[in-house]
Amino acid sequence: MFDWSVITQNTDLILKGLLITLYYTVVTTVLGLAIGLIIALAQLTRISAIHWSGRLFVEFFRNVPLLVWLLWSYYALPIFLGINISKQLAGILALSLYGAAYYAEILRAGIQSLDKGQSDAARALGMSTGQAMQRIILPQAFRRMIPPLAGQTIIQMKNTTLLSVITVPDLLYQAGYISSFTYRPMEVYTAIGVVFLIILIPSNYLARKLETHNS
Amino acid sequence: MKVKISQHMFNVLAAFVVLCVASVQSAFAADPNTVLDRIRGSGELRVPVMVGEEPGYIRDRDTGEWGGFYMEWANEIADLLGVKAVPVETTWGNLAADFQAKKIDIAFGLNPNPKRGLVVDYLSVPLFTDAWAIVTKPGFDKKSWSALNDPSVKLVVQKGGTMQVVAEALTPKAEMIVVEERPLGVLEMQAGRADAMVLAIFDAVQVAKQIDGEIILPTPMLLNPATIGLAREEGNEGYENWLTNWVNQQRALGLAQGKLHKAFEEHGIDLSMLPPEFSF
Amino acid sequence: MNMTSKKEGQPLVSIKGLSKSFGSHKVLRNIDLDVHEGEVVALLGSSGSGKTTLLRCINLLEMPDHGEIEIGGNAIFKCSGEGQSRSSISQKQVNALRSRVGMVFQHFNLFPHMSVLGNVMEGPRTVLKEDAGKNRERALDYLAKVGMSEFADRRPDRLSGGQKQRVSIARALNMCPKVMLFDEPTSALDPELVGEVLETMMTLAKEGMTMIVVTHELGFALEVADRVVFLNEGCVEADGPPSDVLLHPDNERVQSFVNRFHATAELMRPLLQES
Repeated sequence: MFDWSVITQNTDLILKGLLITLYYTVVTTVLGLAIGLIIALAQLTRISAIHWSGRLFVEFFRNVPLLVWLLWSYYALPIFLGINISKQLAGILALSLYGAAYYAEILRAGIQSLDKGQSDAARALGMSTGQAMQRIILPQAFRRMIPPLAGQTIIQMKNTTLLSVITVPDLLYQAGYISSFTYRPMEVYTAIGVVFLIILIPSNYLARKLETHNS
Repeated sequence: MKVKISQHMFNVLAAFVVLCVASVQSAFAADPNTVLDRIRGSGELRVPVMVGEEPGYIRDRDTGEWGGFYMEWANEIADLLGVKAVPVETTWGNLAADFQAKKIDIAFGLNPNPKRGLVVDYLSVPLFTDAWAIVTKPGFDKKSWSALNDPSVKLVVQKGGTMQVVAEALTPKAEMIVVEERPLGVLEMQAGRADAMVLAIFDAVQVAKQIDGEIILPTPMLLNPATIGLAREEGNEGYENWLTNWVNQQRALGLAQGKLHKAFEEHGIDLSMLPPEFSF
Repeated sequence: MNMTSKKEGQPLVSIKGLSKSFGSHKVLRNIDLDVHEGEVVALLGSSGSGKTTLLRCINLLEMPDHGEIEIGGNAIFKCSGEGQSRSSISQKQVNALRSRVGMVFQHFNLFPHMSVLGNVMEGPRTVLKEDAGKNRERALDYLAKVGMSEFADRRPDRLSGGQKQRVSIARALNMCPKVMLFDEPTSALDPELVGEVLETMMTLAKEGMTMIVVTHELGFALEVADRVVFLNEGCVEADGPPSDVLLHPDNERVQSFVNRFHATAELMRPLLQES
């Protein structure tokens, strides 16, 4: 019934796809966290304009499907602004900004969940806001945010599969490609699912270990 | 002090204004060579390529290089223009957007589609003609469109493709299964949930080979002209004209038809099931 | 912020006409308060009297609405009256001020992600950018002073409340402040742990540290404070030596407050006199 030779004969393509998927996952997660941190901090200031810019960013990117953002980045920028953008850049842009909106909310909630006394003690010693953030607030906030951050990163990795729509050769693209000349989509998509499991289950386990080690 | 403008004066003024506007407009009327010049100036003819479209587009699995008869035509056209054919990978669904975003200069094998025609210009001459066929399991005996137009028949079509339009037009009574991609349609056949898949004859021979199925050209035979598309923009008249002439020449000399025959034979596909009166 | 250039007799901390509202609720009404170098002032009053807010205004953790605050002769807050614009100092100067004013909180607020020693060293390390060697040496000295030397490498979550508070006192001291502010330092402690903290504070007082202490411990106020300031609904009701204010109150509100604690105070006195 199942012909697994289509997998064994094409492991090189699957591996290429996996590398691309991992590349985009790592890059957009790191960028997403960095941008998300800025947006989170923006929402915590008292300066109205900055605060509301942060809120707007989050609302925009969380409430529009990622696929739409992806196609927008790749096609709308050239059509409306005449900026020609490569699919790699469009993919990184859309995925990072989308992830950033979610990371921002996790980070903001984490920072706000800290006891106000910590910030009081830091300020009472004479620390500037920057010093208090860097030495006292963020290290503690990050520790408690590891579970939701890990969860969001797993979602990020699954989100990268949308890149196949603009023909970035990720795992899902390779799945479509291999199906197209083997006509065995069942085997191919099963194999892709297994690859995701192999990557994500250990990552989840690591994340939990990180969480218990730090609490 | 009131000034009365005499009727004569008014006519002179009006004529003057019209002349000014006309001369300004003609100064802005686009030069039909604009697009051709742009392509030749850039040194590139950007061609959309996609996977799953063999033998039209064939990607070498190991080197990643693109070939196939669409690519060959692209290379020929590029040579004539004195530029290089540059493949831009995309999907059928994204073609209109690619044109709008100016990512591609030409597209092959398009069926004239009124909706897409709102943003894309089609050549009025077909580059080749294929026909609509169905792939079935051996033993299926409905061979005409009217026979297929029956509630007991389960047809599978690819979403958004012209085959969906054809099926909805000719076999509305049949049960329709719409799939995202061709291999999923093959699955439906293999699972026994569909009796037949509607495909253009090129694709039909591919699928039939994979599942050991049969190809039937339902009667009356429905031809499917495929042509070339280009972006609708000002100044593309020269480009469109030039391509039309090239197509006409390719067909008059039998070059287009010959290329397709050769491509299918090389791909190991037997074209003998096509009726003798059919020609690409 | 230079805190030593002052004329003889001038108070270290000088507060005039301080007012603060939270929304429509007036918490501080025109408070006047002077604290001289070496003085220990106990701030007493029932909850909601504004004593914690007053304390937090001194190091600008709360921003007052109007009034004047001078520390070491330098005006750190000045806003003449209703509707007048505020001439405050820059954030950098605020931070510098806070580094010279130590604060001990009711709920300790130790940094849980650092060791005890790390907590004590944090201030000079990050704020004063001090060299690690000197910092560490002095930090260990202060830990010894509060009796917590053997806990230097422990995490705060392993300590009892009284131990945590003593560490937080060492943390504040390591900045070598001129003034120490205490916000109900023993209110969150189990009764048997209160004594160790009060002892530490008494030692500090004896050594001449200028201290402003918000507290409910009348015994401490009687025994250690030079002055007691009694607040009620944002106003200063009494300001004088503890024996006057607490034992011979001429004010009805102070009297009723004291009555509630009188029994405890009587009990505490012999215990304190012994030590």
